[in-house]
This record gives sequence, C-alpha cells and structure tokens, in this order.
Amino acid sequence: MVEHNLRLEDIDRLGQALLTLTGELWVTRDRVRILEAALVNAGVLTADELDQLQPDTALQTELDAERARLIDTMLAAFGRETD
Amino acid sequence: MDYALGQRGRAAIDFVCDLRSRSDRFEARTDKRAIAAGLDHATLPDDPEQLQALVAPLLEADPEFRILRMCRDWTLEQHGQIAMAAFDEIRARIEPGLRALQAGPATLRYADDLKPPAYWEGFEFHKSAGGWDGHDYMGFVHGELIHRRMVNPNFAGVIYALRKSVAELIPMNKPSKILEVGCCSGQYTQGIAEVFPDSEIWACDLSARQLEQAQRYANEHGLNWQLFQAAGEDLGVEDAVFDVVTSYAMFHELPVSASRANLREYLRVLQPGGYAVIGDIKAYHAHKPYERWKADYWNQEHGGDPFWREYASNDLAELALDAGFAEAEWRGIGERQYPFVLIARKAAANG
Repeated sequence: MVEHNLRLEDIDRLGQALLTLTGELWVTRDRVRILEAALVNAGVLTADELDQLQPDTALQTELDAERARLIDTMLAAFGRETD
Repeated sequence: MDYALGQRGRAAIDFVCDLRSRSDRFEARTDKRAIAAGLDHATLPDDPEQLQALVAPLLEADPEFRILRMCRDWTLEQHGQIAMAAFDEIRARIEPGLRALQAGPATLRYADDLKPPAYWEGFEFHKSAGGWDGHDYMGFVHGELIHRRMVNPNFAGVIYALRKSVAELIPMNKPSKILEVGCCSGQYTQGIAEVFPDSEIWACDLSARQLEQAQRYANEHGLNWQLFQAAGEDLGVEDAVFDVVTSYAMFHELPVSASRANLREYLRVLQPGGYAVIGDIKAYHAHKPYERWKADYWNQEHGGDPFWREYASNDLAELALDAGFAEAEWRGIGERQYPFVLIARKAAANG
C-alpha cells in the first residue's frame, strides 16, 4: 500500500490547484475587506456585529452555491473531469 | 438548544461538508471504472486482507482515486479541530445556557474509579481530533457540531431516523426498564425515548463529556434519563434488572474479546426473557466484493476504525449464543441491509 496520497506525477496538478485556490481566496479577501471598510465607514455596523451576523435564507442559498463553485473549481484542477 | 455559529465556524463547517460531498464525484467515477474492470466479481477473495492486497493497488493507481483519498484524509484530520474552534468562537454566548441545562430531571453518575479499557483510552476514533473527552464541551462539539452539522448531511440526513428504526425493532410492547450501552451524546437514546415514552431509560458511556451532553439534551426535553459512566463489559449494576439492553454503532469500535464480554454482561443484567438489541454496521458477508473492499478500505484502513474489519467479519449471533443467550438473530434491515441488527433473547425463568 502506498504511503502518500500524491505521487510525483500529481505535483504539477497540485501546484495548479493551489494557485487556483489562492486566486479565489484573494478575490474573496479583497471583497470582504472593502465591504467591511465601507460598512464601518458608513456607520452601518461594527466589526463585532459583522462576526455575529447570520445569513438569511436567500443569502445562505447564494453562499451555498458560491461555496460549491469554489470547491468544484479547485477539484477540477486536481481531477481529470472525464464526465 | 438554539444557538447560532459565528461567521468563521459556520463557513468552515460548510466548507468541510461541501468538500466531502463535492469530491464524491471521484468516488462515483472510480467505482464505475473499477466495476467495468471486473472488480465486483464473485470470484474475488472473501478474506479482507487478501481482497485489500488485490484491489487497493489497482484503485490507488487511478489519479482521481488518490485525489478522493486526499480530500477525505483532510476532512478526517481537520473536522475535529474545526468543530472545537467553532465552539470556542461562540463559547461566551452559549456557555451560560449549557450550564443551565445541567439541572433538570436527568441524573448523571460519574465513576470514581473508572479503569478505561485499553482499546478505548487515548485513541481518537474516526481520527476525530479531541477524541471523546479532549475539550471541556466535547459532548456538544461532537454531538451538535460534528454529528448533527457534519456527519448527518453526509448521510442524507437520516442518521437519527436509522437509530430510531433500531429502537422500533425491540420486540417488546412496554418494557419497563431499558439500558443503552455506549450512549455517547444521547442520539440513539432520543430514538429509544420516542419509541418507548413510558419506559425507564438508563444509559451509560465511558466518556464523561459525552454523557454531559446527553444529560443536557434530556433536561432540555424534560426526560428523566439515568445516565452513568461505565464500560459495557462492567456495568456495575445488579443482576436481572433490565427488560432490554441495547446499543447503536458501538460494537464495531470494540475488539471481539470486548464484544463477547459485553454480551456476557448484558445477559447478567437482563431479566429472564429479556432482549439484547444491537444495531451496527453491515456484516461483510452481506456485501458484494467491491462494496466490501470499499467499506474495509475507507473505515478499517483509512477511517480511524481499528476494529471495523474484526467486527464485520464476525457473526454476532454466534457470539450471543456463545455468551449464553437462548436465541439470536443477526440481519440487515431494509433493501440496503443497513444497519445490521442483533436481536438476542435471554431464556425465560422456566427455561
């Protein structure tokens, strides 16, 4: 039985997946940071309130779809997606 | 108890669940290729180790299978840490409510001189960081955050119904006193209480933190469960006091020697004519070869379940008869034959 999940031939795809994921992460971080700043500057809420905010059903549905897309994008970079 | 997770904990748990479900596509595709290659053929070896030696290298040569395993390894290794961090994020808000729920009709008796069995102590089943007792609210972390929010969605939301379906198989109309062994945070106990609302319910576990969560659940719902800390092979109660002794998903976490000791102890504490009802994983003999290989690979080899193979390869009915039960039947439930349930009867007083 092999000791490792990834073999040498997987390394390039791993690098691609990590770059893809990092790109997605930065887009999100950038968006969150400017959104936080805009909300705090406008006096809408404080940083603490943001931590405790609960998404409503519509927003949760949107987040679920976005998260699925993020994971699919990463997995597509790993797999060969033959289907 | 109503509670809301913080943003980080909620998002991290959502990610764990979705990574698991979205990566399942690799399993579907590797299954298809494996079956097309003849790996579901009846001539494959019955012996699990021989089957592993034959099938694992073929699957591990498939790149998509290796990615699937990487995703599952990550999920297994991270889920406990993520759940504990999610709790700590909201601790200040929910701890007063959790403390308040320690008071109520349910009682909890700790063992002063508990000697945990070697197979249990210091081992993190399912690679779950923190094990059963590794956080002061590990019962909430495991029962609510891991089981309800992570495991249940990955089992199509049926884990509570499966537990209740085993309680419904208890072949008595109105047992007066039921004991559940290995109750953990009380998820099967809930099912028992729903099926037998008029019965006196006792439940034990080795983990103090899990029992505390079971107590909070019972108190919240006005249930007078009698909870106590004990191993199933040494219950510390009098002879012949229960009509039913039951458990769910505990036996596959025991070596076969402990299964035998448990069954002997159940026989001792059951009244004449009483029943042992044990629900657990599917027996290997009921699997097709490739399905058996998958169950063995993902649980025994990679799932942090060291006794899975030993349990699933045995015949629980035979163990029950060896222990002294008068009758024993062990069979799969429904079309999927899951869970497998042992129903064993102790001889009546007149034989």
